[in-house]
Amino acid sequence: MELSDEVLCQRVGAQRDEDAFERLVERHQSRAYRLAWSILGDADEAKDLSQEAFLRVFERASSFDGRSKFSTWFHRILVNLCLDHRRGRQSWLRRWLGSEADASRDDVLERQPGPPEDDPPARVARKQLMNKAWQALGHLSPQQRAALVLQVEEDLSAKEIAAVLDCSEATVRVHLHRGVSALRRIMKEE
Amino acid sequence: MTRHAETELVPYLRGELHAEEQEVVSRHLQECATCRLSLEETRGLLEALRAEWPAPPEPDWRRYRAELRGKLVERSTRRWSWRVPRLVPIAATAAVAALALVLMLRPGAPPNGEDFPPFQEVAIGSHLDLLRDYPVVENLDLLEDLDVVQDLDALSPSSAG
Repeated sequence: MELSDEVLCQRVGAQRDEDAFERLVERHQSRAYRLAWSILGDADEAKDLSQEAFLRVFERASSFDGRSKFSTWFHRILVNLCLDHRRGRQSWLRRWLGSEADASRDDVLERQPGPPEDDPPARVARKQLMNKAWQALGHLSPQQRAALVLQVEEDLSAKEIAAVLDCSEATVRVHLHRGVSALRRIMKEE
Repeated sequence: MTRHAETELVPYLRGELHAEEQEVVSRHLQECATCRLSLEETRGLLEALRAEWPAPPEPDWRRYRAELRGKLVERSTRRWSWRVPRLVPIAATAAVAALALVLMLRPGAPPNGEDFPPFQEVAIGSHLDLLRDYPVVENLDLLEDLDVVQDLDALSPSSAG
């Protein structure tokens, strides 16, 4: 019988069980990396930070009390790491570039992959729209972007996003509303 | 609902609102063309994002896990190497304390764990009769000085030959 994430995590915490840890990594590596990439927009950083999140799981597994789902707890660790990293990167750029704070946004945008060139014609229009939306995502605040990524990519409800971002459901609704409104506005302008 | 539906639109589309709230937003949408337009644009945007969300470049997962294992080992090693320098003085102090305890409790040691008397006290104790003579005690320093003087005499060039 396949053990649940929660049981595996408790084994890691209680016995430093490396096999249990390995299984958790195998199960969540792809989602963790993709989520980090969606927030950060950089493959190397996404790899490093998703690995760091797993290291924190190993170190802090004994503090996982099993009251929430493992995935919620793990997403919280990962998203916080990504948000802290983004804030650090932006403040570093602001210090060096002074008023050219938007450089950080451009930097993120430049690293986003464009649509593949061999798309079927029927999807091109939608792809172009998505490309615009993807670029516009770079203009959102880290929290707005994280909330939107968690909803669209991870299909989490506002309540689940609130648990990950450690804020109220009302705050998540505001992040989502502002994020979506900003995307709609930016896409209309371009 | 007198104000426009703003923060409620996304949860409304996903069916996350409570029944009452859902009903209020539905009624407002029937009356408000602005909110209906917002709802349709939001729906289109979320559907496009969901359908076309780009995929990142896929890493080599075996290598990813090998790197992760390496980082785990490195971190636990670093933690130990950081702790060892602090453990050395603690271990040394414990060893000295244990040695002192063994010496105190070995057979033939003074009872009740008393310290060994310093050899100066032993030397003085052998001359207790002398110490009972108060004037002698009073001039003890002087006598010590005289001993030194005698020693100096012994080292004089004439005695050295």
